[in-house]
Amino acid sequence: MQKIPLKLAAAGMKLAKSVERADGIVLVGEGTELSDPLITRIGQAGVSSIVVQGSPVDMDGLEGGADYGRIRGRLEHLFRKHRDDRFMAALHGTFDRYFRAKAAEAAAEAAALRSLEENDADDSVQADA
Amino acid sequence: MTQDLTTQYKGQILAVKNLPTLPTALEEVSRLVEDPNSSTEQIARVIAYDQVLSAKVLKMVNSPIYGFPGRISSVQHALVLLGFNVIRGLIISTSVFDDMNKTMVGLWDHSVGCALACGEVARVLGFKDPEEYAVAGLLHDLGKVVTAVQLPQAKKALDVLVRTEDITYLEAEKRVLGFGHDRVNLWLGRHWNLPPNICEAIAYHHKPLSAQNYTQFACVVHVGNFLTRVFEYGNGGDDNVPYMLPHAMKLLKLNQRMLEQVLDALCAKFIEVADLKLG
Repeated sequence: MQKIPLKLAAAGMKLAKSVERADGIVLVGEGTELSDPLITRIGQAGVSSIVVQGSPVDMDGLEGGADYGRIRGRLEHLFRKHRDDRFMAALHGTFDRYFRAKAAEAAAEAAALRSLEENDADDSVQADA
Repeated sequence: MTQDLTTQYKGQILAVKNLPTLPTALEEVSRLVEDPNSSTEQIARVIAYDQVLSAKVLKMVNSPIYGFPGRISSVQHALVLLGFNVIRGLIISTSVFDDMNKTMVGLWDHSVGCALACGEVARVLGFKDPEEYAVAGLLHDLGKVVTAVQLPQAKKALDVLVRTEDITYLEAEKRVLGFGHDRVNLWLGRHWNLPPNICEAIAYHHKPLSAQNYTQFACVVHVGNFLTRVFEYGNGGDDNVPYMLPHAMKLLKLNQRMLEQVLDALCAKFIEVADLKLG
């Protein structure tokens, strides 16, 4: 089970948890297999992250890894006095996962932008020819 | 720490009338706010007469902390939208911090960040008048500033203690002064006759469940302060996150989904308020 930014969702992934709107209304049920139109509709409902089965996205391999590494180090430092407290340790984990997903999302956005620019460049080269 | 010394420190701290940057308009505004016969127009005129002050107030009300669409260009309009209490809080915070901006670098940013976080938490939870929570966030560390201005020697000792013993600023205050900035906030709140919701929020932001009538306000500032520390927006005096009381989140009914909504908003807005400098 893995929580991923919606931008990294792909057709074929299966939902490990139902997708809910901010007001708690269920949009898509647990176990549903994602399709491209379904991912678009989830995004249109204002949902930015989903929980999918397995670990289909390699978050560490993304370029946001460097940013996330720095944030993880800072969180370790900021929470250093609360390591023995269960609630604070759980909160630490929540923030860690949140910033990790954010870094991955930013990296995915940058990669998508780069590939768009490369396509544009290819198109203009072909037009010149 | 002897009682005599605490009383002496309290006296020195509460000699805040001597603060050079506190505008004379504040006293007049406070008097008018308490007079049921005074009008918004009268109060706006007093503030607008001080051009530096009205520029500061308008800069704050047009910031992302309040998020009003379109520009608020008059003090009177700001008073109608935000209410007397919020505007009075803005006058106090911008004026007191003006004196400290150079010596306590980062605390103003931390306060602005906390204001933003408190406003967002209140908005996500659907509380009425989120701007009142935001101004409580803006004022939550006022005690640190006033103590530093009034007792500069103690401020030096606090910084040394935080650095050498790796303790929190609050712990250092209790060791050096015998009380923390939360207690100073209570004194200042009473001294300036701040409304009881803001007074309790700033006095109990480290132990919100002890607030008597406005626990919800104190809990929001408790959470807002914590989140600003997690983002390391500005500098609250030490590099720790304060302890977050599980009951504060429970009392607010702040679940994980709502928390993520707040974090998303903060990620975007902390960049926008980064240039909200004083002066």
